[in-house]
Amino acid sequence: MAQRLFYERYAPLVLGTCRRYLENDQEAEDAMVQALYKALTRLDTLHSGASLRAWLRRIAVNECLMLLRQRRPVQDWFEDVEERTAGPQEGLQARDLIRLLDRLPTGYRTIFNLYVMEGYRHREIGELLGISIHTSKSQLLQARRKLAAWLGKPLSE
Amino acid sequence: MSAPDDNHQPFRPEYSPGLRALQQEGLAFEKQPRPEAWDRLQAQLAGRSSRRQLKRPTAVYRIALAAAVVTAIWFGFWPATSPTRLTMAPLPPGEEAYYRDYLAAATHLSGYARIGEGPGISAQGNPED
Repeated sequence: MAQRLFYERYAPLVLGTCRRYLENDQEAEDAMVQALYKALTRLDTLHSGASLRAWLRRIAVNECLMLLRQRRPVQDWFEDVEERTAGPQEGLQARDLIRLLDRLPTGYRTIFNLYVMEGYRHREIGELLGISIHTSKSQLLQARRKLAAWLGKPLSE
Repeated sequence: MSAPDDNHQPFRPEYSPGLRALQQEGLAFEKQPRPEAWDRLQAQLAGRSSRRQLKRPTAVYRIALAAAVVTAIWFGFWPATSPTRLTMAPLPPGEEAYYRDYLAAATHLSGYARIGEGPGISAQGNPED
């Protein structure tokens, strides 16, 4: 019963986080189930005073990164930068954001999510993914340029 | 001076209202899962608890088996600790006198040299010089 309440309260947050990393609804749901399973079975590791939502998001992000790594080695994320396009977006809604993120290559999307959405530093991203800080920075810049172009806004540096 | 990356420059949304909206929307973005997702999670959680229940008796059985083996070795192959120790049966009547005579004869003969000591016996069975 308590697990059900926990699920109803936090599953949308976890799924929303997973969906930003994985461009497929089914995969995002798989990651969400795994993340919530880990959270529910390791609740005792949550330090008192720590933010439950932040903790859940971190578990969700780790789960997604694991799935992405299983799919392809991290180094390949940055090599396959296929050109995808999207028209300028007006009146951005959450679902539009997801649509835009889906259009980013895996490397851009992951680093954009980690840096902008989760607030990781480039050093932390480098450690997390096993890449250089330079790669993280350049991928973020490319991701921001692409998103800015799609949003129809010039991106100031 | 700290490393360049330590100067963490968080995303500055004032540069781009579009990206600001994107960040805010992204942080707040929640998605309702399909009803089946709960069933899957529940099944996983149930599987875990049943696995744990199975593990516990298995561990208990293993410990019990090990204890039984050790006990069997202890009592079966170590006579000194066997509960059924060897005890001498009471001698039948007359036997005691026989053993007493045997002991007296053995004591009397104890002054003789043992085989291999003293003059000895040759390979042909003749006493050696």
